[in-house]
Parts: sequence; C-alpha cells; structure tokens
Amino acid sequence: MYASASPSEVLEREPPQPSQSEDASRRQRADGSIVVRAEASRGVSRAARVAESGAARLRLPRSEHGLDGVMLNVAGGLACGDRMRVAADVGPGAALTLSTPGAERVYRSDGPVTEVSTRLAIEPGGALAWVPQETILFDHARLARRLDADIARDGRLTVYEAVMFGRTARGETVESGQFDDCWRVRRDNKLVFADRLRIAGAVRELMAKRTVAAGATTLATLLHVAPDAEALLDPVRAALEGHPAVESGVSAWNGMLVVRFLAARTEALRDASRSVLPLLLGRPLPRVWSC
Amino acid sequence: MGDGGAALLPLFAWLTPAFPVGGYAYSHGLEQAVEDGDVRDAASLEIWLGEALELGFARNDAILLITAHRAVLSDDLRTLGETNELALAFAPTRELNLETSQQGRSFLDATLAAWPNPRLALAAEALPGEVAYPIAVGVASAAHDIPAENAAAAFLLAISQALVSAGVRLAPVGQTSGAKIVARLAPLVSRLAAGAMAATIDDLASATFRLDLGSARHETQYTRLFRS
Repeated sequence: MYASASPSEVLEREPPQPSQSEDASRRQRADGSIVVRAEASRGVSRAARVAESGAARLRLPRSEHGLDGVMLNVAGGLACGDRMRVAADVGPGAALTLSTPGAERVYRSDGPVTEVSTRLAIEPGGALAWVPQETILFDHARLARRLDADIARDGRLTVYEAVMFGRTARGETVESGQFDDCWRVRRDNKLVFADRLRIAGAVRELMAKRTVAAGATTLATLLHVAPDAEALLDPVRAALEGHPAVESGVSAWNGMLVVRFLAARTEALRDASRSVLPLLLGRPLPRVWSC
Repeated sequence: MGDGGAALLPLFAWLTPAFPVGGYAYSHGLEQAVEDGDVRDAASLEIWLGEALELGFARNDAILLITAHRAVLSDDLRTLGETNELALAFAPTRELNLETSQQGRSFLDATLAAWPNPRLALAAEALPGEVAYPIAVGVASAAHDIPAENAAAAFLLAISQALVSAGVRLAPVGQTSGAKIVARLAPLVSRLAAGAMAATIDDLASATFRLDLGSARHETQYTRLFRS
C-alpha cells in the first residue's frame, strides 16, 4: 500500500509494465493488511495489538506527541487487483495518529480493480487521525477505496486523503482509469457523513469539467469529527487564506468540519495541508510529513 | 386514460414554486459558480446544470427517491429511515444539508396537511426529524400511488426548472433562453429517472467535487440572494 521509499526515490522508480504474455487473472494478487489497537494507561497511549500480513508493515517510531503509526508497503506500490486492508481501533481515552512515509502509488491495470479498505473505530474519549500522504494514480489505474469509521459520541476523528492524478512534474497525465472513493462515518451509531467520489472512464476529460476539478490534477478531502469541530471553521479558513495556489472550501455543521482542496501542483496542496492539519490534530504532524 | 390524468395530478401541485417548500431560496452552489465566472451566460449555465444533474446530486436524488418509494410500498419503514439517514449524510456542505433538509421537512409537512392519507401518515411517523427532499417526494408519491419513475422524472425536472430560474436571476440569461435550457435538459432528466429505476443505493456516487467545494465557499460570499 504505502511506499517505504522516500518521495525522491519514488520519483526514480518506474512502474512495472504489464507484458502481453501476462495473464492478469493468473498473476499473483497481493493482499496486505494491518490491524492495530491503541489503548491508554495513565494518560499514555500504547499499541496494545499489532498484526501485519503480506507486504504491509506498521512502524511505531518514537514520538513526543503521542502514539504515531507509520504504515508501509514493502512491495512499493499497488498493482492491479491488489488488496490492502487496515483496521485501527482506539480504546477509551487513547490517541493514535496513522500516516505514511511517502506517496502511495497505484499502477495501471489491465482490468482488475485495486481495492483498499480502511476500518476505524474510536471508543469514548478516543482520538484517531488518519493522515496518509497522497496517493498517486498512474494512467489506466483502477482504484476502489472504502473507508468506514465508527465514532463514540465524544470521540474525535480526523481523516485526510489526497489523490494525485498522474505525476504531473514528469509530464504524466491520467487519460483514463477509475477512482472510486467511498466514505461512511457513523457517530453514536448514526450515519453522519457519507461521500462517494467516482471519477471513472475518461478521467482527464472529466477532471477538466468545471463542476469536477476545472483541470486541477490533485484533490483532497479532509473530514474532522469532534465535539468542538465547528469552532475550528474560522481558524481553518484563515489558515487557508495564505495558500492562494490551492482552491479550497471549508464547511462545518453537525459537529463536523469538511475541507475540499483542488490544486494544480501537489506541493502547493501539501503546504496547505501542513497549515491546516495541526489545527485539527492539536499537535504537529508526524515527522514523516516533514521530509 | 379518460380520468383526466388523475394519477399524476398531485405531482403538478407539489412540484411548482407555489407549493410551500421554499425552493426559490436555494441555488445548489450556482450563485458561487456565477461569482467565480464558471457560469456567465446561457451556454455555460446549460453545461453546469447538465453536469450537476448527470454527474452530481440529481442522479443520486432520483435513486434515493425511488428507494424511499419502494420502501413505502413494501411497508418497510426501517429501510425508509435508513435511506433518509443516508440521504442526509450525503449532503456535502452545511448549505446543501440545509437545502435538502429544510425543503424535505417542508414538503412532507405540506403534503401531510394538504394531501393526507393513512399511508402517508404512517410513513411520516418513521421520519420524525430531518427529512431529505427526495425522500419526502418519494414517500408522498408512493402514498398517492404515483409510479416511482414518473415521480423521479418530475422531481428532477422541477429541480432543473428551479436552478434555471436561479440562473436567470443571477447571470445574464433571458427568460426564453432559460426556458430553452429546461426543454433541452428534459431528455437527460428522463434518462436519469429511467436509469435510477435499475439502480440501488450502492450506485450512489458523484463526480462534482468542485461544485461541492464551491458550495462551501458560498458560505462566505459577501452578498447573497440564495441560501445555498
């Protein structure tokens, strides 16, 4: 799922090219998963359980700001038909921040869809931040992503997901493919946020439309659910005023704050996100975000 | 038919600006699109609305309306409640949440008052709080034996008409140009309603990310005619 390489190494690596003799249905499909549970004891959060399978790894680097988990994919990207699953639970009063050390790549598919699923659960008084770095879609990539979260009434959840349609710095574009991103968030057993962004088929043509992206190649969605989420509306808007290269919209209602971002350059988006995310997390971003 | 079209008549009463729902107050992000220069004449208005219908919320609304309609016909009030919860959760911003929930509640209350029947009363008991607009229309249509596809098509055409009216007020678009846009959107509306008959809630999806983003920005627009 998530590249273990640094962003600069990521840029140097070429995607595997499917050969004509390769039969997609017979190619070994890679499955990976991470299961993690955080629990608090005397005010300190610790990983009470970690399980990894396939190419997925979870690192828990020392951090001054709480429990940080860094998710890696030692396979270095997702090919067609690969599956990656993460399940993260946060126990009462515990806090966990999950991120990735670099961009995640989804390579071209000759048919099968790459599936990524995330299940998050936040128990009373718990806090979970899901702040991976961006996902890069290659031309003809087919990705279906599903995120389910269950939050206790007073729990806190921050989810940030950014997608880059092609490595534009290299002049690459995504002409066609599929990006299907489904979110379902429940608080106190009630569905409070549902979203499904589906950009499928002639991706570049769709992204050019003014209702879709007006030609931007990077987009991100940020959802913050917390008892005080609506009070952050003005600070978040103020922080984004300093990032005119990013088109953003911030809305808050029903104990939630939602930000949508569009940018022509991923670096501009990352700068904007670095300004906003610490306001919501109440702590600096994990160290992996600063390299 | 020979019955004066009685089966569909309620739709003509419910889906006009005179029905006390307050639809004239909402633009579904169109006011921001005009402010940003994305919609500046009849041609760009038509493109914007066609995308909002086909790639955005209107296709989803048709699916939600039909799902609610079926739930009422099969007396499945649990599915009705869940579909309403899903419809409300799908609102991408505060103003679009207000747009669907205020109109939905007003529509259901107005039909309960003016077009009461036992089936409508029973279904309304399952929707005591916020109601999404397409859910309310689906419920009332089912309770009055109006076919789901007719109700969905009429609802989408009414939405198109309301948004064109908003466009005529906001942008340099004449009344006749607006009427032509509605006529040209009608085949798309029929196609979306027919497609929604074969869809389920697993097909709910949207591509209009920037429209939703603009709806959030509308909250801070300096002078506003519309609530969304």
